[in-house]
Amino acid sequence: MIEQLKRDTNQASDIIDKKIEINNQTIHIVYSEVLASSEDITGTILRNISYIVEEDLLKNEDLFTYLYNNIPGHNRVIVKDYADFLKKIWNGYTIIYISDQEIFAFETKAQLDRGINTVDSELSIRGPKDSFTENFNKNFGLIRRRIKSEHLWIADLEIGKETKTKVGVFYMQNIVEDTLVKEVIHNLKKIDIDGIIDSGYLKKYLVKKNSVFPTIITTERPDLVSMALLEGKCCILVDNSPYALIMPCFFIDFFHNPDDYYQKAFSITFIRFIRVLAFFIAIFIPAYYIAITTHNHDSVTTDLLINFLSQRRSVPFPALVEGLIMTISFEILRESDMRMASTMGTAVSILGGLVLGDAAVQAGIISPIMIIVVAISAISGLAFTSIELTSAIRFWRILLMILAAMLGIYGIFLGLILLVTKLASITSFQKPYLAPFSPFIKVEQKDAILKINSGNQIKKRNPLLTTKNRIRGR
Amino acid sequence: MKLDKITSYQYATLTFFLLNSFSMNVGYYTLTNQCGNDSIFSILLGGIFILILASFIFYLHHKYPEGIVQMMQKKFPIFPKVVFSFFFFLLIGISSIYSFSILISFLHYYVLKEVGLLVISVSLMITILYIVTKGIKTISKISEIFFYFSIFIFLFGSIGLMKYMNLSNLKPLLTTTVRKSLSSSLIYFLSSMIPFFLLFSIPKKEMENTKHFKKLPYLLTLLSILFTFIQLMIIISVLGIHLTNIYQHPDMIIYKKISFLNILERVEVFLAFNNILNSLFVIILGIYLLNQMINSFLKKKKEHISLALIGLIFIIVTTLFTFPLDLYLMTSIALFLLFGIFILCCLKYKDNHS
Amino acid sequence: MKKWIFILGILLSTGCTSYTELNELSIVNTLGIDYQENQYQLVINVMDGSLDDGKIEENFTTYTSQASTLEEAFQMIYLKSNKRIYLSHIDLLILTEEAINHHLSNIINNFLQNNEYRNNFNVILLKEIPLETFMKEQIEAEQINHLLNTNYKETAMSKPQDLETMMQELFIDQNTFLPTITYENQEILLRGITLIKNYQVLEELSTEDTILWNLLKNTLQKTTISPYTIFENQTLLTTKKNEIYFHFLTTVNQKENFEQSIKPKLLSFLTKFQTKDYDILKLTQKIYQNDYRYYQKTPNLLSKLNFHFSFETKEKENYLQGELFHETR
Repeated sequence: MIEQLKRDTNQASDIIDKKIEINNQTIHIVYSEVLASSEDITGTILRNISYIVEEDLLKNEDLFTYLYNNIPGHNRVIVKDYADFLKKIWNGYTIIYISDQEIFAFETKAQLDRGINTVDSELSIRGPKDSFTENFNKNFGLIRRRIKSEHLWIADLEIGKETKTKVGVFYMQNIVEDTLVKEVIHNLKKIDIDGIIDSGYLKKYLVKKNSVFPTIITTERPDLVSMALLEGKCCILVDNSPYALIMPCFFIDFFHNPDDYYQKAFSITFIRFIRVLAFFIAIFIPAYYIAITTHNHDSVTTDLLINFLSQRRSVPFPALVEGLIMTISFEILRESDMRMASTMGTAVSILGGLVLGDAAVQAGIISPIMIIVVAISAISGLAFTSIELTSAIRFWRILLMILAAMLGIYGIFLGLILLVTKLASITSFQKPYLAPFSPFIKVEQKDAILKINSGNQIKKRNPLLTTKNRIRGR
Repeated sequence: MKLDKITSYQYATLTFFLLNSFSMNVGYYTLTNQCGNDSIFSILLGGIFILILASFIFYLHHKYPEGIVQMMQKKFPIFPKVVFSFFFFLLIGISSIYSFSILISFLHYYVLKEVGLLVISVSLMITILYIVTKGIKTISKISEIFFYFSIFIFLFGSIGLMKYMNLSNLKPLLTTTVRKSLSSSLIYFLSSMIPFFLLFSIPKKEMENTKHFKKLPYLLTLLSILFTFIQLMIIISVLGIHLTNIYQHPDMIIYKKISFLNILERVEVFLAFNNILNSLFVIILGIYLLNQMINSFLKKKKEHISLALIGLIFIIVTTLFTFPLDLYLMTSIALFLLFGIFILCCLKYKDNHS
Repeated sequence: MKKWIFILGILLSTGCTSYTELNELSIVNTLGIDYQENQYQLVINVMDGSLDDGKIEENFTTYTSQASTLEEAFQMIYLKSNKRIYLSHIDLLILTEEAINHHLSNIINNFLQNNEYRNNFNVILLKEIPLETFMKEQIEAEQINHLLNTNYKETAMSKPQDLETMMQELFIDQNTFLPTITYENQEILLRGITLIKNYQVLEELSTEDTILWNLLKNTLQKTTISPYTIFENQTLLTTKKNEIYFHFLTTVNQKENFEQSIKPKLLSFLTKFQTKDYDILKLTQKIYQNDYRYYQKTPNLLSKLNFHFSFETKEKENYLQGELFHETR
């Protein structure tokens, strides 16, 4: 088998084959230098092999059984065939090979990740700050630490012909609906692809109808995942990816933050109203401005109209073109800011601010009011942690701007009707996207936009997510 | 909880919007031109008749769970099926086209003054067809969401107009003859026939089967009647009866007066959204029903082509013809009579088959 | 895929044909209508703004036109104006006596039929100065509106009138009123109200008579009918067939002889217009609303009305004790 391995990998330099002679028998110790931890190998396995005294072997006839029972190690398994042999090598195991029928392995994985860091894409102000890493076991550990229950089950899968990535589907067996888990596992098993590099790859296989709005939550935070598991949702962790997937999700989930549950209900109600307002502002404000300066001049007071008129006097472009230029410039600035190294970041920001701000106005290309409108809209759109929702907002903002330029405020009405239709027709794993508003679920209103303390009443779970175990406690 | 069924709340909000279409399709001017200040009583009286009809329709829906199209396909022999289908098709088609043309001219007059009628009608028809392709479940979800908008707009408008109300404009009451009051209440009652017929066409299997299914639709029917009553009261007390008789949409005229703290002014275009929503659901459900009827006669179901054809016919007829103002009422009366005959035939054929 | 077809369909079908830039509009601020030599004279004040060093400056332009009908007069303005006349932001309508006497109903019909007007603007009557001269002074409509409102709140010597209320009153019995304004020595001067009967100008009320009129209509807040100062007032009006009962709840500075001095003034004011057959307070309309059957049975109701006054006066607190200053000779 070792010869076959060397042939198949073209004598790869990271495959190490150590030969040790014991009692006139040669044992091979095979491992991948980059995947296995050399400290574990020298510290436990090789040292223990060196302690073997030839007299002890007289009692035991079988070298294989002796070594198998006497060398301490983590996660000791017997290797059955060549495929298993390969799998173990690529997973960082050290193989102890005596003959083709007498092989066993120890897990000696190297630490190839960055350790548990703080979250950087979803900031936590008043809550736990640990985040997932690229190591599947560490991520699993972060969840197990929070849910110390025997009902937390995991379905292990291996996806990808070449990458053989480990994927785990987590769910609370006593809460979640069986149909959901079956559907998720069925969809994952159907995947026939060469490699899964990140959890994002799995999204298009799990979702039947693609739409602009996200139907799966991606998160880096283990506390959000634990909360979701306790609500009756199911979660997927992928090896080498720090982002977990949570499904099913509702539209209102993107307006919630895990930090909301660690603070007072009253202030959170206000903050959630602000988020909903930010959503509407981000989509509708540029379109509203374009509509009132092109079609519906009677919807503003006279003073404001004269104000707009005097500002737009020197601008050579129509309002729609002006708006599109500003929006696209802002997006380019945002994109370049993300890709730029931090050393050059401040210079680019200053340049962008100057160019898009004062200079454009002085040169008479853009009116000041358009800068304000687009800036407010863009900043409101960035109030959400989900990147997909931000890009959905961006798409609808541009669509509504075009509709407003063509049809004025009536165009905005049509856009609103189209937006609501689109949201109402999306389903996330057969659950309606706009729940708990449509269909109206009275129980969930306490946590949708308003956050009301239920006091001494029994807390119940969302009836859409679970029918098994509705009661959470008091 | 059944996920993919229409809940009673969604059904109720659909009823609410369909009944509210009275203000656009028939209009307050019909009532006030008949009996002046007493039109507010005629709304109350007509409202009582509407509640009776509502209970009858909900009872029928419970008894005959299939929608109209499926009922005719299964139970009726060919000749009555063709006749009834033809007449229902004609009446619903006429009322939907009329509703569509009224909405287009309303938009052209109040919201978009410079844009041509064809442009407005094409853009509206495309939106409506998009909604119809999504199916009845999405339509009911949309009505649930827009119900909140409608309530907010109504409350905002009413509160803003309170300081302009002059209650003595409502007097004198009880000055017209009983015959006129009765006839205007019958106008209000009969104009609700088309909404109820459209509701009756939704098959019961798509709806949740709960014990208290009737309660919410009843409540929202009552709410719609109450809103119409309050709206008419506000209109007459702000404008006076003479000006109300002149305008076709007096509710838009009074919205021009609203001004909160000198900042929130000129909001009538946003409050026109309420009127758009009221008419929209009649047109959407009308086209949905027409599409179903066409597809029940064709062997191969080609939904998108038939929808596109329906949309094209709507646009062409709207641009070429102008309709007399009481066409909606005439079709409602005809539908009322035809529906009665239909129910009798249902009883007869059900007995024959069972 | 479906969604894209629909969206594209909407976008391609509209074609941006009715796009109006703000700079293509001339926003009318004040509209003036006169009738001279068998022709309507239409004068409009157009507002415009320009950005000057970050500050917005408003400037006005005046256009005049003449024609035999009002619609033609609007058309003739396009011989001078290079932008589309936009009528949704009118703040003031100025009419002259000749315009009212000749064709008030035509003017009102024009405002009813054109949807662009929002009929909530104030209407005034201009006297003793030609309309064009007044408009060319380019006085902002806001100034005149503020003048009307402030005067009304502080002294009730006049009353603002908006077009919709005017239309309502004309529909009831063809009678209405308009506040009167003149322009003397580069100053705007407000004079009482002018009464309109059967679409014709009847007479102008002095400021004292206007105060009495406001008092009777319960539209008075504070005023001075020398030597009395009224701080608060509420008038309750009840009708019983042809008997009209006015009950005044007033707070005055001196209670002494207030009732005796005011009562005859009110009575003479009302009887003067009763003899002229002019229902100045629309009392017949009140009787029509309260007692419909009596109204139907009785012809010539206005001449049969009897007025009764009752007062409930309160004196405003005066914290001065002792004698006040007298003039020394």
